[in-house]
Amino acid sequence: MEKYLIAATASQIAACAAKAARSGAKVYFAAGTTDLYVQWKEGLLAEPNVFIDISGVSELKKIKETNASVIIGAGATFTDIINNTACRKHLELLTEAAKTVGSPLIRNRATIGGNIANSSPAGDSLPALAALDASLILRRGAKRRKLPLSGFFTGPKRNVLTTGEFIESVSAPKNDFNFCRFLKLGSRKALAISKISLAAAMRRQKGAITSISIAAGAVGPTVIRCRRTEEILSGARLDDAAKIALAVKTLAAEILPIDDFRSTAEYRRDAASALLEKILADAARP
Amino acid sequence: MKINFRLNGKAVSADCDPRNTLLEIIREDLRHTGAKEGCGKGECGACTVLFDGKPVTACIIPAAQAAGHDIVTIEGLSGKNSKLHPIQQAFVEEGAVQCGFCIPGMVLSAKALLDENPSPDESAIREALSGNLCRCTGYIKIFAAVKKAAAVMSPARRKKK
Repeated sequence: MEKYLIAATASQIAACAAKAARSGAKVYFAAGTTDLYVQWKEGLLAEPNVFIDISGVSELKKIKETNASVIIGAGATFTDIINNTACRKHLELLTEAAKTVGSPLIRNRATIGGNIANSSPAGDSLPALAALDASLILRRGAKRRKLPLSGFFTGPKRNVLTTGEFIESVSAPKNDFNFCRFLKLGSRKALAISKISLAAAMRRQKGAITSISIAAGAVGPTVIRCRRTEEILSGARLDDAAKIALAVKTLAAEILPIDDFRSTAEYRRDAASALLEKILADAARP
Repeated sequence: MKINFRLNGKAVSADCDPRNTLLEIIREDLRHTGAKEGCGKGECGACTVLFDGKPVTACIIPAAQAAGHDIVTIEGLSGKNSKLHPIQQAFVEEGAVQCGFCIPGMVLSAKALLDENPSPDESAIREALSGNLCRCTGYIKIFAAVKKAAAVMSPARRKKK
């Protein structure tokens, strides 16, 4: 019988994980288990393995606000994030994305750390975090390293975590965006994995975009920060139809969608354009 | 391993393999079969239970994680002599029950909603029940039942104050 260890503190997680890693077992962290247990039941987990239950580690669930940023413990659930005042005020794009994850039943369990570590190309918090320039604190034993989210994913379901290393927290800087949208297309309004998602946050002033951040999900091996599109829109007026048309075309070219069992590359390119048009049209309204 | 927790207000304990799910323990060991296995993947809500008051899908929760917590199943809702909870009564009156398979989950999600928001509008009801799928009813009478339960329960709550 493989092992199931229960941690009460982050230090215990670190100690258990490092020890298990040394034994050559694959370490899995059991938090909300909304991905882990589905994968386990489907026979997708590596063996031999050790489960470390981190669901009782209260320090991992804390959400803190500093002068410059909001720091979210990896164990915070999507319900926690949606209800948190600091997140709603300073990371509105993330709370909007959080509302689209799974269902209320899933959101009451699923953690942001799990969403990031699962590293699905379609993970819903990821485009929002990418657009918000999020960073991660990764911990292995007593050692921590800080990494921008952009440096974390290496491919579908793959990331830079080493054996026994875990995500301790994710943070994003406070910003001056005053308009944001997270749009997701799926087979249903709830309980749907994204066919495409688009996260956009901007500062608009007097009908113009003074700064903008756009990221797309489920249209590449990892989340894509759409910098060429951002460049075109930065400084643009929201009623500049030519600029908007160019931005929409650029977005379709900037993403890397494939055909998979959920959708096609062609649909995803069309949908990306339509989603960006919708966001910019909404932004243009007073 | 042995786990101790509260089920519908009573202290219980169960022996489990570390990786048994909460749904297995509730149904097989503790013989509370109201929670159902619909998909086994957390995608249908038939296994909904309240975990410290929050609705969750028991089929993908390690039983070990229940230790020390409060679990409420549909069996915990009816009162003395099997008197129906107002939410259950509303479901019956509104014709919201067909085969019944999704109903325990629907009722518990509704209870969690009304505990937090005693006067939800239709969009709040739809959103709160969005994790519970129904193959039979088309949802309309289920939403009507929740609205009716809210109306019945609100004045009662105001009286308590």
